[in-house]
Amino acid sequence: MGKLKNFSFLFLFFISIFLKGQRIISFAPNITETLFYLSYDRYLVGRTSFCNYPPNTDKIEIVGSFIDMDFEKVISLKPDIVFFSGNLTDKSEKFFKEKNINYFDIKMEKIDDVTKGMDSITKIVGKDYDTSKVEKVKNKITGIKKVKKNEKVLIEVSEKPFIIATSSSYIGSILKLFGFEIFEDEKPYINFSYENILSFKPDIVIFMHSFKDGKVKYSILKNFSKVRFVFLDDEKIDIFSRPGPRVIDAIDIIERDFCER
Amino acid sequence: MKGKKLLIFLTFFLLTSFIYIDFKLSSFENDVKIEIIKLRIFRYLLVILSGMVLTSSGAVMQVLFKNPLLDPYVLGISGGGLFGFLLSSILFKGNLLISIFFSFFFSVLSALLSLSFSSNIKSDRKVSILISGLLVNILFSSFVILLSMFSKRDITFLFYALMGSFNHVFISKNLFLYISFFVTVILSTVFIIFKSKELDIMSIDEDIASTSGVNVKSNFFLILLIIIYQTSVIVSFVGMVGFVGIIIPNILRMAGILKNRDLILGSFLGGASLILVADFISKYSFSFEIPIGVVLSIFSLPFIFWIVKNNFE
Repeated sequence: MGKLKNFSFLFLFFISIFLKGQRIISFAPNITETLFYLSYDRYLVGRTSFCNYPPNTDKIEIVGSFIDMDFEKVISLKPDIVFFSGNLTDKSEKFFKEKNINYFDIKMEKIDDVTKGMDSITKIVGKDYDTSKVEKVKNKITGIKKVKKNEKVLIEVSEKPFIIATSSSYIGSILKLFGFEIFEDEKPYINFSYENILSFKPDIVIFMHSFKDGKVKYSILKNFSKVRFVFLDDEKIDIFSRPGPRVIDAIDIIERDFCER
Repeated sequence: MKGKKLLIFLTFFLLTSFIYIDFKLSSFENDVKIEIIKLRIFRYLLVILSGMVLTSSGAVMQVLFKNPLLDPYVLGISGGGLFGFLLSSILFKGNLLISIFFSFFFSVLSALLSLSFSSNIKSDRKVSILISGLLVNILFSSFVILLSMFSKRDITFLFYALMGSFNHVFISKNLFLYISFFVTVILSTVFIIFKSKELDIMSIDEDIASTSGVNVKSNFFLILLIIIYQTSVIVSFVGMVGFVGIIIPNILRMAGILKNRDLILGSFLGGASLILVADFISKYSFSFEIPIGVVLSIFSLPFIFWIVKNNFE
């Protein structure tokens, strides 16, 4: 099965080499950011309404989002390659198969997936790119040092419903590399409860949403006065929720705001 | 229908059809224009068929139940159909034939539930059928949400399923199935048009209908079964689309079109035109597509309020 996957991957790679001018559509913000970072933005002809970084993206046509794709716009842009990032739906897959358009679902869920995803994208696009940029990301990740021990971090993603990011999430996997203790679960995002707060006893709570009164519920903790609450702004929320080249910024933020106190 | 009224409806329908297919077509390059037209025509056919079927079904149901506020959505048939469709798409990975069968089965079940609840509510029949339909709709909508959560579907999928969308992907290998379903839906509507004389008599009084030789019960269930079939096919393609079956037939009655044959024919053109306009708004208003039900609900609410005000004390 693995060999078959590799073979089909190579086959599509060779097809992509023979395509004259690549026209790429990205259906995920982190893929768009990666394409820009690798200087593939000159091939990018379509993006979703959620793709808002870097600022130059506003010059690229919007083709809906991964769930409500504008099929007419997609066809009119004549794409050679369409990228998803773990968000390929059955409906989209049906459409691209029907129209014989190459599509790739590059799953980038944890910090380890960032460089793997970059490698996959460069192989698929098959054009020149600055290899030093990928190396820079790799070095930044491998350069993370475990500086924290036994400090528990709870990452609140939404207040209602109460959802947290676990160690399997992107932000969770980064913080874990620094030595923080993150709520363990196989799923990246899970429902949480007051009972869970009491049993986990976090030292730091990170809010990845704009509901400022969210910290009230943590007053049930005995060490409430010692708990550190961190509210991320919209830009930082994007940085910590989009596995891509801005992992460099994410690492810098953690080193600056969480490790040096 | 008198010639002048028919001409107005036909002109409006043709005009909306032309705008729908031709909109900004010149902005596309020639080599993709054919593909765009193909996409638009498939969507256009789905839109007009849905408009025709849902509106004529609404018109007929209003006669069957003597209630101006009924359509397949209000009776809970659409909710049951959507649940059946979703269940089969999870169990059988999207086999269209099985999906429509499931959709039909659960639509029948939801209609039976509505009728059974209604007969047990001690109230005016007009009100009891609305309440029971509402309950069944809530029940099946909840099942749809539960099923979506179990199958880990994205929350936006639910918006489009519960509020309807014509952004459907047509697959060429299913072309024969599409044609078969569409033809059977059209033929079944033609059958209802042939039954319009019986409907006319049934709409006056059931006793008069019986003495006139019309088998009220068998006609009632036969026509209801046909409507359920039509609705389950449409729901399988576009999700739940409500209220269109209420607005158009009531406008037609206000315009003096009372004969059921004319009402169904008028509903065909009126329903298709209304849905075309609504889908146009949903498609082009923003950078993302609004579910069709949202557009219809916003624009039809004042009118439905007016119908309630004039029909219920």
